[in-house]
Amino acid sequence: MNSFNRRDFLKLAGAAAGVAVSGFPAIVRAGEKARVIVIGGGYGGAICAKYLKMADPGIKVTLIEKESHYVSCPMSNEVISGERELDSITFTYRGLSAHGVQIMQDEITRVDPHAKAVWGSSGNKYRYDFLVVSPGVDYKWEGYNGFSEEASREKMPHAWKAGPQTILLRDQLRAMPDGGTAVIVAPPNPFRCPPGPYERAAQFANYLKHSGKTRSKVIILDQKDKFSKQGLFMQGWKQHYGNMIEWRGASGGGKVDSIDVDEMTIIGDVEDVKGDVVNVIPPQKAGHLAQVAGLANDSGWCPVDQANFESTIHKDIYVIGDACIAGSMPKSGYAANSQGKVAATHIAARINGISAPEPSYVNTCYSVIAPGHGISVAAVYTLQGGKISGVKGAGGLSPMDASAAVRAVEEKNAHGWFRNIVDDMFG
Amino acid sequence: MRTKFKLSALLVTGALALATGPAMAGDVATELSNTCAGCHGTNGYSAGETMPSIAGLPQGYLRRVLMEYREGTRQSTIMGRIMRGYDDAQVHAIADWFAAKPWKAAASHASEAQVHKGKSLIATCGACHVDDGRTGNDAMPPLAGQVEDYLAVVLHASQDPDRTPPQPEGMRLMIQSLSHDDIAAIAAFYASQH
Ligand SMILES: Cc1cc2nc3c(=O)[nH]c(=O)nc-3n(C[C@H](O)[C@H](O)[C@H](O)COP(=O)(O)OP(=O)(O)OC[C@H]3O[C@@H](n4cnc5c(N)ncnc54)[C@H](O)[C@@H]3O)c2cc1C
Ligand code: HEC
Ligand code: HEC
Repeated sequence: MNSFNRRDFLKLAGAAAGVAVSGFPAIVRAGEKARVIVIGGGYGGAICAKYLKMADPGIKVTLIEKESHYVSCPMSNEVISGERELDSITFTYRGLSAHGVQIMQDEITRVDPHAKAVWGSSGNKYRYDFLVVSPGVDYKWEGYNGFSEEASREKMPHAWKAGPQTILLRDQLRAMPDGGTAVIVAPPNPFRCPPGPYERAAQFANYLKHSGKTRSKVIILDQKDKFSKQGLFMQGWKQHYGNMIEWRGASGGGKVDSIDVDEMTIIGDVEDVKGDVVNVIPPQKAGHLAQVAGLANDSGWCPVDQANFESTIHKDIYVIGDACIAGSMPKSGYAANSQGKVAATHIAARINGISAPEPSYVNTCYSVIAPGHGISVAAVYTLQGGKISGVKGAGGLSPMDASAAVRAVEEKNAHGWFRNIVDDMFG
Repeated sequence: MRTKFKLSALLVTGALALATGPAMAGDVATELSNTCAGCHGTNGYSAGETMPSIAGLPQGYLRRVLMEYREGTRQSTIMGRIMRGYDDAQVHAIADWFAAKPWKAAASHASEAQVHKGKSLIATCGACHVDDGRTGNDAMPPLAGQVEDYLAVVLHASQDPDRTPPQPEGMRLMIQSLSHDDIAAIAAFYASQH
């Protein structure tokens, strides 16, 4: 691969010959624009790379992603219920190559903000003028006593990163006998996809209902006392699944004291819950790369200038997606998409020496409760006093009293949204 | 008009950018419009299912429907919630940005049989939707090449006599008696036209 670029070569050549190298870079770079490296080809990174190229095709954009394919978390709950296969949420980077983005499969293990270079596990070194980091989330394994990464691998999958974990959880659910109990441990705030655990509960129930295992239970043990789209979820659960889904808030017996992995039991403040399937979603922090690059603060997340996502810790490095602290925006795929575009516009403007426009951001999260029943939450944001804040009067939830016809259209729109956002990223 | 001054100032910056650099960077209308692509596709060209293509819709139609969503006079599942986030100048900037793009037919997978059946049902529609729906105007959007499932969803919603804004009486009467299968065929027909 192409770690040894012309600039390295000229610098080396200059050093070897003992001549001054100052002035070289400008000559080498005449007619060639800045180089932007994007790490992480998910909802944030893929879109940022593409929109950089759309903003200015002259910018050299390299996307470095450790996996050969991207498996989407959105719609992965429908894989667990059997509504769709993993193939339908798996994407390649070919479309991005067609936009002129250079794709490198490598895992970045080191970032040097002063040398403006990153290193991959392949041994490659990549230089950048601007770096964009969108590594997603990492898990605080120590967040629940008795739990560990090891435990999540076989016995208590999190499936909070789609892929083999999604299949493992699906297969465990399929193997569960009628009358069994599936437990979901929902994490404390902030975490990736606030409605995700509750959509998952619905998709568990969807599977159980359709496979005739109607005596089974789905119990959510929550580390919080309220959750996203709560009224809409509870209404939909009841409508489609009766009392199959039971939610216990933190102060109503949901709080986890510790986890007995061998016994498949969650030890609670109030009582212990044993599950046939136990889906433990750990507390979260910014992706590992953000931690090793020193981009996170004590909260575990990355502080950025919310106008453009440049790190407030290291200049010329931008952090987008789940890893960053983005005011009122939730950690969602739509938010990561919106942030990736704001960062791309800003970087392109900087490279061209013009001022970036006032930022504008949107988020929407659709959730599918049952076939024919979709709900949504939306928001439009602007920068207010340096913080990303929702525009008053805009956004909000699907109405509680919507007709069945509207719920059905929203379910279709959830799939239409998915089709378009992945096309926006990979098409 | 909270942001009006800023908006026009930035539009000037955008115009300068056109002269000195790439067309897109620095352009406030692009910044606003990029946020729609997560649902409507890159640049407003939908990849399908129920999300409509919005690139290349007539300017007057776009300005009107976006305002109607915002004011709550146009029924929607989500567009009202989105459009309430923008002021007049922003709505116009967004509408004009999409209107300036060429209309392109979305991919259609309609079967021959469906298209054929649809054609037999739309004879009367041509009074307004001329040229098999290829031409739109400020009063009505083009139908040819619009996303099939979106057309079906709109036709179902339009059968509701309480839909806002009301469709023209002539159209409402025509679609009132259409069956589910008729609507599917009409949607397939218009979606397949280029
Ligand atoms: C079950 C579930 C359902 C969800 N549903 C929705 C939904 O309906 N709508 C919605 O908007 N959001 C949803 N989300 C949230 C959404 O998945 C995330 O918010 C989104 O993926 C965040 O994007 P990102 O770019 O920050 O991270 P990711 O999409 O996770 O991308 C990170 C990428 O970086 C790569 N990477 C990490 N470290 C390195 C490294 N060192 N070197 C190279 N590559 C690296 C990873 O392999 C990965 O491809 C859901 C999440 C879950 C778990
Ligand atoms: C969360 C998804 C979502 C987002 C974001 C979104 N839209 Fe929509 N749009 C829809 C849906 C769904 C419809 C159909 C009406 C409805 O149910 O809300 C629609 C309808 C429309 C229509 C009507 C098309 C026609 O033929 O009449 C226009 C125009 C439009 N949107 C423009 C926009 C613009 C401009 C933006 C960005 C400012 C935007 N939309 C953002 C989902 C979205
Ligand atoms: C009297 C004129 C007239 C006739 C006849 C008519 N239409 Fe329409 N149609 C309109 C107008 C005007 C609109 C836009 C209304 C609005 O603003 O929502 C429209 C909108 C539509 C839309 C929504 C498009 C979109 O993108 O939102 C569809 C679909 C449609 N018509 C189909 C039909 C069909 C099918 C017929 C025949 C069965 C028909 N129309 C007959 C005038 C007509």
